[in-house]
Amino acid sequence: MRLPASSLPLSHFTQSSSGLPSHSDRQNTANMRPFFIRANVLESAKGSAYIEMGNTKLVCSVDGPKEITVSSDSGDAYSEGILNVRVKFAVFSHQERTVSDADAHRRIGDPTELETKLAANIQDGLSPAVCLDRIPRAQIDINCTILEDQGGVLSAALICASSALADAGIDMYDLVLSSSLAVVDNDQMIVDPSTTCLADKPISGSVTVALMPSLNQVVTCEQSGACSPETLRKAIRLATECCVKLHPLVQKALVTSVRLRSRPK
Amino acid sequence: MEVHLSDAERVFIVHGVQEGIRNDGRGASDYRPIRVETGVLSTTLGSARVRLASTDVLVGVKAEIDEIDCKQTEKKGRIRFFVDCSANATPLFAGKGGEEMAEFVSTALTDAYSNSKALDLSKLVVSTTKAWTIFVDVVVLECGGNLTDAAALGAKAALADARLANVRIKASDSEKSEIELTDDAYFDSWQLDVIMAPLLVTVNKIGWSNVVDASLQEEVCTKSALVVGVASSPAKGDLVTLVRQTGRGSLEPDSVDEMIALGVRAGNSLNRELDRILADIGRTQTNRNELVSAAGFLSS
Repeated sequence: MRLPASSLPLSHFTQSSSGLPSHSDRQNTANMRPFFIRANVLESAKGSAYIEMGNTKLVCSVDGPKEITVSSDSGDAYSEGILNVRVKFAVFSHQERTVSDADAHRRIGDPTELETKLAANIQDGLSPAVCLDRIPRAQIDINCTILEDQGGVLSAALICASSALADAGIDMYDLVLSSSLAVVDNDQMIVDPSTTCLADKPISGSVTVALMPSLNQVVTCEQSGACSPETLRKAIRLATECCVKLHPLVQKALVTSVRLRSRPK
Repeated sequence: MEVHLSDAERVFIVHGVQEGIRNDGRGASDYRPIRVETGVLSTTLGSARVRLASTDVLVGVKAEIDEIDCKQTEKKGRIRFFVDCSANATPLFAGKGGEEMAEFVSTALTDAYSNSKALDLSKLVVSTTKAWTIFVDVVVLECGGNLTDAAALGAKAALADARLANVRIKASDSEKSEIELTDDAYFDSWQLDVIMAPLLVTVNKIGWSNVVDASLQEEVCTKSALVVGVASSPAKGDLVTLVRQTGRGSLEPDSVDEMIALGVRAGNSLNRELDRILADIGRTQTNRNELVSAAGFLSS
């Protein structure tokens, strides 16, 4: 069944925001949104994790190591394993059920531009953390499903995927923790912003940083928008500090899941 | 990208770079010789060819009038980037080989340009419902290392060269509107202001040093790199429009700061040089009635 050529959602005509409390209600913009993580949430997957950062919710499952199925063009001849990341946005994950122009020609089932980009970012972010040289000629499948996108999806996906990998027992050098940050026009920085909080503010830049906390190594540093080098330096510093705050929570979730697994059934 | 290095060669390059000595005698923040030509393709509204040592890219700019996305609050046009790594560039790009690289470069360009300061997209609006959509197509003819930077140089030069005709939209009786052009569409045209268009600078971490514009061999020795999008103008100073970490390695937080600083410095001088060259090209295009015959650009 084909959709009408031009249809507009109701929210286009209304000004009201969602009834859920927004980030801007919080007094302190240096606080992150409420955070929840649980590992081993899916029975059928080798490893899995579910994360909530504010209203952004996503679930990630991990399978492998297994035989390489994805064709790769690298001349490496698979001396190291590879991560095969697939990202899927649930249809109801955004405020509007839209298909962008870029996606108009794709086949159903193929990833959209945004999903491909996010998958590449996740793969780049996780590759330094996983001991890929211990699994030559093998691939690890990572599937992320984003149930609700209210900002900070890349950060949430990185934390969730690295927890799922740890839950699956894949050898890793360290966990990957991440946080995002928005620079609002008067150089004010909002940590872990939600889309509702940013809706009416002019954003001059957004920064996402992912790091391995025990090794103090940055695995992802992404910035977009336009800001001065000085502001960027401060933003990266602030985002790095916020990442580290999540470490105890993720560790606790993994310990809990190990306890549950080892309990006699 | 088909470069195989033995361990000894790798160590030689890495140790040399750490001492500040690169294989071709450059410093850490030096680019290889760059040649930029504009107006090389007759089928496009603007075009450029960039040669960065042996890396060769050809960029064409086309534009189409399209509906404005009615969900946006501000009316503005669009810009889309496409990169095609042809199999001529290196045998590894045959078939689907170049897709990953092409995806990376086009995403980097799209994100670097996706801020309000790069190009004034509101100037692309022609009527209340229609605006120009600019397509920037990059074709990689040969890959000799540092493809990202060359593509960004080409994109900025081609956008500077592009001429868009002045159009008037007349609302007609039926739903379709009529587009009016003057008789001489070439002369009644305008150019984009690309002073704040960003350039991409790839800073590679080799050993413990950072270098800019890595050759193919240096790229093989790189574990991690940072692509920095820099826009600079004398009036507004330097702005960073993109940072993207790439490669299998991780970086110390201090390294990230150093690499961004190096990228901004290199991007600033690259921007100034390119702006100067584009201004020179603009001045020498005096007599536009002259038919300029292309001498075969692949020959020189």
